[in-house]
Amino acid sequence: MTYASSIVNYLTNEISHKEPVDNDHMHLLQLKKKLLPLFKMHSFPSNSEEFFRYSKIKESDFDHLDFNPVPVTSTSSTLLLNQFSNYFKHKIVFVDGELSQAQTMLPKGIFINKITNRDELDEAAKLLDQKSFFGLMNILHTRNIYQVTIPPDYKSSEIISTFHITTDNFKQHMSTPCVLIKALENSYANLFSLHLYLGIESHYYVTNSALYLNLKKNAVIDFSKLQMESDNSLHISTIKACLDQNAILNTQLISLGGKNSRENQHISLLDQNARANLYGLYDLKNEMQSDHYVEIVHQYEKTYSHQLFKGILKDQSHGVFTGKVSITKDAKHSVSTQLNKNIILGEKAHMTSRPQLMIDTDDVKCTHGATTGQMDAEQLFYLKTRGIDDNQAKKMLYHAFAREIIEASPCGKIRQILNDYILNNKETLSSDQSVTNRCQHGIFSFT
Amino acid sequence: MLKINNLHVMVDDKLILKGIDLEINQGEIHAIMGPNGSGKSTLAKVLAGHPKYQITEGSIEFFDGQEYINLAELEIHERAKSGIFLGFQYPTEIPGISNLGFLRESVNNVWKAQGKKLLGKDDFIDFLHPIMDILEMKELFLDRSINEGFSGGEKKKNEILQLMILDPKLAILDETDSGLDIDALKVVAEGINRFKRPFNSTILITHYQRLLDHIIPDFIHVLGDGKIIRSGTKDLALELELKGYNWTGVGK
Ligand SMILES: Nc1ncnc2c1ncn2[C@@H]1O[C@H](COP(=O)(O)OP(=O)(O)O)[C@@H](O)[C@H]1O
Ligand SMILES: [Mg+2]
Repeated sequence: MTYASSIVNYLTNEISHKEPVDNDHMHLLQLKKKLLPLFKMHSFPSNSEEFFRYSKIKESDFDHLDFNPVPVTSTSSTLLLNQFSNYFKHKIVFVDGELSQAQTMLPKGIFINKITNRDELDEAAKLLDQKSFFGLMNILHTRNIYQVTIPPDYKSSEIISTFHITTDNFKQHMSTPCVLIKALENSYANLFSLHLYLGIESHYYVTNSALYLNLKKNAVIDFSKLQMESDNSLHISTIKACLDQNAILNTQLISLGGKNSRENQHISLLDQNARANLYGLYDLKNEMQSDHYVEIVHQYEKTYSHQLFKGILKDQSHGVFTGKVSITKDAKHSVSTQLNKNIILGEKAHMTSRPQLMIDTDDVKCTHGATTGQMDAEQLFYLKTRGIDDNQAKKMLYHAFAREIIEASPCGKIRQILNDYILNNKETLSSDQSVTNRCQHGIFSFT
Repeated sequence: MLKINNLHVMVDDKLILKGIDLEINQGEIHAIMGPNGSGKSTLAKVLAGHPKYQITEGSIEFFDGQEYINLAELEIHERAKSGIFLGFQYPTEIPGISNLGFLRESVNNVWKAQGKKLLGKDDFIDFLHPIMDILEMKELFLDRSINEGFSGGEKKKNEILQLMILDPKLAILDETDSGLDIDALKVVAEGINRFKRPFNSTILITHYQRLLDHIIPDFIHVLGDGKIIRSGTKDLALELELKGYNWTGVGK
């Protein structure tokens, strides 16, 4: 029995034959019952489908998942978590896919709540991804859909972070967090999302996470994500965003972990002056694959999108970048730029870079480009002639390369975190003080 | 300090240096002159250990303070640590790395290998200031990326700054004078003269005589088609200036 049918069986049992556990879950269960037949019509995405052409995620990866995992004795270390926790005051904490209310703390005026009533759920359903296999799987499998509302005129650069922690309390399980963020008119929010594995041994598990962003008129969101999953895990993540007039969404996705990771971003620019700036960095080793899939639809005139994705590929790793931009006939005077730059360090590492532009109107400006190469030999030589060894020289050049992505965040604290983790790739964080010192000058400096 | 014997060097399957013999003692300045394409930069790069330049014959021996070692056996960064410095003809631009961070990383590595005490960030900046004053470099240089967007003169000053702070045993300065106006030339020459002390040695590669008005070499060698075709004292430079390289029988 393949996974697709086993999860269909599992979800069919869960959904169609079950009564809601409580009142809160009644409407969600009804929604699931409605979506189940849709899901059953899908089959697992295959490499013959354009959007999934180079993905190494296979149906068989799901064979060994345990849908009713029993907790086991954990060897997780909380050291790393504590370092992050000390760094971020306000956080929403998910542990193994479930919200941990006890650890969650939010700034004044911001709340996270389960969507339970029918009206809210109906409204949310309009945003939810009901078309894709993984989107449907996320909704059908998630226990709750959560909503965070950023109130109108809320303007605080205080970081609101979401921690998605995976422990090794469970083996071979699947986490399917589903969060909706509604940024109301004239609001600004600074969001940070962390996917972190705390186990000592690198376990196999699957994350299939969904984040829906709804930006109302003049709303601005800065969103940064640091993905540090287990080296053996599968990480599938979808961000789906809708932007109204003058709304701005800046995303910054840093992929450092996971054996195979797939980062989907579906952005709809719905009204004039809506703007999306997407930055990404993947640092891959061994046989890792990182597959960034971006789809931007310009649906209105004078909308803007900008993509810059950079990759470092070591060993036998594989990077995929697909940047699909559609400019509809109503999107005159829109501008879209796209650039994908890669450094290949491993002899067997490779990169697949695919720009896809579909332009249905005149009077637009679109540029795209991709480069793949090695580290600059003359730059390496120069550094080495100054007494810097090969390893350190490469680190410095790597940092110089990554810097453009790190600096995309306007928030110093986030830049420092990313900087430390990208550079040291999983070494421990220094205390606040020393991070600050190191960030002023030196190879860690930001000017 | 340095003994080069019958050195043959190949780049991309092309033989560039065709038997160089050169011996440099402590305290000496040797100027190497010669027309474009004669192999001056090739000699400089092979001494620093550029991976593209292959020694096919001959040897380079370097006195590391205790004994003569075969330079070819040292990696690039180890050469720097044992006291060899190359001032580039065309210093490499490295966007994204601040000059200050780079200088500190370099000094920390070299000093550490030499058993010197390392400086904290503020002390390091204090240490740089008087040297930057001599070179008429503004503080701003430290915050910019390595050589990125520097003018020709600024790049050369940055090389001399590195020379002065690393204080090597052997400095190889490749056309440090080219691309400088008169004032910058004076400043750079001042830096080199301050560096020069009885216990170190300098190879001064230059195309023109004018740097030698400021820095008096002990010996001058003329390179032509990968060989030293003439050697002499400073008067040789004047002769070259008057008669041009044609007079030596090579190039234009
Ligand atoms: N990387 C290289 N690849 C191929 N040929 C080279 C390379 N570097 C130098 N050469 C050749 O070697 C010769 C000497 O060059 P160079 O050492 O730069 O001369 P100089 O510094 O005296 O002007 C020239 O003919 C040049 O074209
Ligand atoms: Mg030259």
